[in-house]
Amino acid sequence: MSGGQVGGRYLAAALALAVVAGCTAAGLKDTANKTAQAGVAIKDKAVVQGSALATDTAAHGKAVAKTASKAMRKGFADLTPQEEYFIGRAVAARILGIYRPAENPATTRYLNAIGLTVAQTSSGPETFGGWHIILLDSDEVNAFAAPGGFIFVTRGLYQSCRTEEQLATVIAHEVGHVTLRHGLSAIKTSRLTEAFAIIGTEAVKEFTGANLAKLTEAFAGTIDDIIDQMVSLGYSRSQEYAADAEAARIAYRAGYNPAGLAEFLRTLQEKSVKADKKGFFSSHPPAADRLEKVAALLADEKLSGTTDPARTARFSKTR
Amino acid sequence: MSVMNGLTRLRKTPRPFLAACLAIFLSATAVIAAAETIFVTVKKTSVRKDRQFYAPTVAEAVFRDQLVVLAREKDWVRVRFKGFEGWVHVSATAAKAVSVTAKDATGGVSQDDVAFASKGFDSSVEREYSKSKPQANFAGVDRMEQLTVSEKTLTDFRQAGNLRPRGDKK
Repeated sequence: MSGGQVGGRYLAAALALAVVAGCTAAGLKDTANKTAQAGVAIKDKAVVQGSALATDTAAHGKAVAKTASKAMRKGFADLTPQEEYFIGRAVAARILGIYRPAENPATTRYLNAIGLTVAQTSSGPETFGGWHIILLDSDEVNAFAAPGGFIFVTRGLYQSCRTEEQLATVIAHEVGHVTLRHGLSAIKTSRLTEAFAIIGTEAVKEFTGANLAKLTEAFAGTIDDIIDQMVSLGYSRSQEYAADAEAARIAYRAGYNPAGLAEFLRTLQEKSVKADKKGFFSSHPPAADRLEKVAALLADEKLSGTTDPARTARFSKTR
Repeated sequence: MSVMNGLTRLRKTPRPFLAACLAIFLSATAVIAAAETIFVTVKKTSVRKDRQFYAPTVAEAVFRDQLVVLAREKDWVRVRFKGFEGWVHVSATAAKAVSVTAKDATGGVSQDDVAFASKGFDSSVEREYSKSKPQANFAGVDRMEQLTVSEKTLTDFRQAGNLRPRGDKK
């Protein structure tokens, strides 16, 4: 065997090695794509079934799995974080058109510190524009969450809480509505189908004229759908239970005593007897039902903790 | 050195050595070509030292920044970005790049294509919407967005309240 033949064999082997390396890399990429597509399938199933757990799982991987697929956009689950943000801004603007913000900077800072603490342990801690919480100057016992992470707590609800644990779990409940995308689920599919069709028709960076008018009309419809659901009709019972479950888990992971949610629901139960069914009472299932389910969840998942006196003391100072 | 001398030297270089160099070069090229990248889908996010929100920030990434994936663990991705290595939360990222104009066989635009597109429900739609809904308080929302909590404030808040984050029980 000549030197040239030996060299040739080395070269051939080296090329084979390189090709195998490339193919393996491509194969891994292919596997990753298939895994991502499976993620989308799980997410779609979750939306259909309305399962809190499956939706939660889907929310965990939504950002990666969703965009790794070549599926066409069909419903609210396909909205991008940026679109969710602009929808959330408009919903928030409508809420601030109805309710006046309370001018209380210290309480606002306190609410935002609690909000960010619990949001960071949720299944969707990063939103396009971040999390923002504001106190509304209203005696109603109520709270709202607009898509994208805009949360509103009324003074009435704030004053109904007795501890930071209670307040934190109420805010975590609203965070749950956002991460489980309950607001977006109120949008009629036909509106989004129309919007997606308009967005897909024009290969330019910005819309103008008739297309902008049509897209704005579809956008206005989506905002009306969400406002109707949030403020007038209320979320479904299953959505409220799912947000309660998410709240208990979030609060536990953040270091709070998740029993704060059960304590607050007991307060609601007492108030609901006397209340005139406005606000929080008209837009949620009965507190007794929620309390029962939360108590069972805390026991099943062994979610417990202690209510630290330092937290209760600083809560009392802000009231 | 003349061209002939150079060629003579090349001929004298052992072929196994050249083959090995070529193999390394081609393998490296293949690996680089297959390096997974992800994109930031939020206005801004922190690349952190450890995979938790309480960990120090090593770099700040903004919307559309490209990150090289080094590893994945639960909901966190270890990335390389601008010479730094650290962790980002998966909810701040997406896997695909942008092509606003790409369409499928039916003419529809895929989720991939719109993930970063600067069209859709955006500021121009918001401006039009606000004209038709003067009661919508966008100025109030702008003020609300200015409500932020610094990392130091949040750390102090947790410490003062004896809040110790726990692992997931699920």
